[in-house]
Parts: sequence; C-alpha cells; structure tokens
Amino acid sequence: MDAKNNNISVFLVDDNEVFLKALASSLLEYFDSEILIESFVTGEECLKKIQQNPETATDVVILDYHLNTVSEKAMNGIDVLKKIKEINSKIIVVMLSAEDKLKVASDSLSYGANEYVVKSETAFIRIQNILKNSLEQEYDSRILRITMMILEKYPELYQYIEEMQETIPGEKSPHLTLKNLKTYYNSLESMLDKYALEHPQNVKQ
Amino acid sequence: MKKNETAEHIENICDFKYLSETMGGKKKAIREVIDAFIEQVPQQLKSINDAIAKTDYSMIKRFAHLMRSSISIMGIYTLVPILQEMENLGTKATDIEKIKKLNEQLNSISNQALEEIERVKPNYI
Repeated sequence: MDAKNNNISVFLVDDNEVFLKALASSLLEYFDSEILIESFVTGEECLKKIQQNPETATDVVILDYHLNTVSEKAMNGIDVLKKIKEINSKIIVVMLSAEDKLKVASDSLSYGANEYVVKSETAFIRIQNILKNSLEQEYDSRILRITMMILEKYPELYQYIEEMQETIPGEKSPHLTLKNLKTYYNSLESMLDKYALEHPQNVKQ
Repeated sequence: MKKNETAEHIENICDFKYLSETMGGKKKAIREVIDAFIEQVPQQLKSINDAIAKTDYSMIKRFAHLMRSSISIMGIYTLVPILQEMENLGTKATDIEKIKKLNEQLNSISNQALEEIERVKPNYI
C-alpha cells in the first residue's frame, strides 16, 4: 500500500481458509471499495508484510487467537498481537477466538487488542461494526491531533486547511465515510510533510 | 431440486441461510466460500483421520477445532456437537474408541454435506 493510499487496508489472519474467505467476502460486501483486504494463513506472513512497511502496511489486523492448527510451530495469536503492537502501536487489532474464555479475552485486551470477538453466529456482523466504529474513531482522533498541532505549531498553515477541497462532510452531506476521513487526514499530513520539506527552518519539534 | 431453486429453500444437512445473509445474498461471494469449503474440508477430514490413526490427541483436538469454524459457516449444525466432543476428548487425551465412533459420524455427515453443496453449487454463478 502506498503511504498516502486513501483506502483503508485490512489484514485478515486465520489458519482456517474457509473462515478467511467468508470473512473477506462479508467485509467486502459491507464496505465495498472503501477497504482493501489481504488474507494470511499464518501470523508470520502477516508480520513479514507489516515489517516491510511498518507505518503504512495496514490500518487494521483481524487476528485469530489459534493459529497453530495446520502448523504446530506457528506463532499463536497473542504472540503475533504483541509483535504487531511493537512494530506499530497504531494498528488496530481485533482478536478472534472460537471460545468465549475470560483468559483469552483478558490476555488479548491487555496486550493491546482493541476488541475481542467470539466466532459465534453474530461474529461477522460484530466485526463489521467494530471495524467501522474503530476506524471512524481512529481517524477522528488523528484528524483532531493533527489539526491541533497545526494550530499550535504552524498557525500560518491554518488558512490552507480552510481552503482545502477535501473536507469532512458536514450537515449538508452527512454521509461520512471512512474513505472521506482517511482522505482528509492524509491531505493534512501531506500538507505538513510538504511544508517541512519546503521550510525546514520553520519545523518545530 | 428445481432448476432455479437456491440452496436455502431445500431441507438438507446444510443450512445456507447464514452464509447467504452474511454475504448479502451475493452469489459470487457465496460461491467463493463454497469453493473454499469444497477444497478445504476433505483435507481437514483427512488430517483428523490421520491423527486418529496415530492416536495423536493434540492433532485431533486442533483439527476438530479448525473444522468447527468451517462447518458453522455452511450451517451444518448437526456436526457442531460431534466436533465439540472430539475436541473435548482430544483435550483430555482420552477415549480413542469414542473418538473413532464420532469420526465415523463426522465423515458420513460431511460427505453428505459435500454432495449437497456440489449439487447446489451451479446455482451460485
């Protein structure tokens, strides 16, 4: 994925290829072209892909807790989760498990998973909602942080925010989509990157 | 089955309602999952059979667990308690004879389900 790709990238990790295919198809059905999906049958493959491009490889990982069925020596979901968070703590991780067990849930959440979902009949619907809500919250807060930073450190850029064409839909166009949020966030980030490149003397730590 | 009848309308081992609803009724998406199931489940059954032949309880547990996710997606609910029990016995590493009996049921029902799925597959193009 390119650094400024405006699609939301989602990695799916499960050693059950039937579940993997069903989950990918259900998410594509729900989110349509707003997300890009990549599927992995081991955590190792997923980590390798993230390590190639830690900051931009993916926005979300949906990760199964049991990943060592086909290969006994494969990393389990908790170890993969820890590694993902070490590489890039901003990546949203949703942990999946076939059992509704307190220990699995508490371990997952304590190691940084944003959500824990049991593979029950309602799992796909829950994952869709979690994904939508988590990503909206994440991009809302990123936009808020970067906007505040511009206001505090680079007020001279504020006028350009208002002039930008890519804005978050307001009351007149309430159909706020994840892609709008990501596009808007990326535009702010690009503006800062460009400013830093053209005016290195003005960059503040 | 009538020519235009889709899978959710027939009384069978598989209940495609869940899959169909999850995929928003999109035939292409349903077909992709069906294809993955037809490809993966025979391999999963073979892995369980091999594990039983070796009395490898750990493998029995792991593959019974794996297969539970697959069969739930295809609505083969009669297999859920069978696989659950195989997984439990595998965890306890006990009663291989009971596991063998459960495995006979698993193979029989799975093969029937695969036949059903092959029959309805042409409706999802």
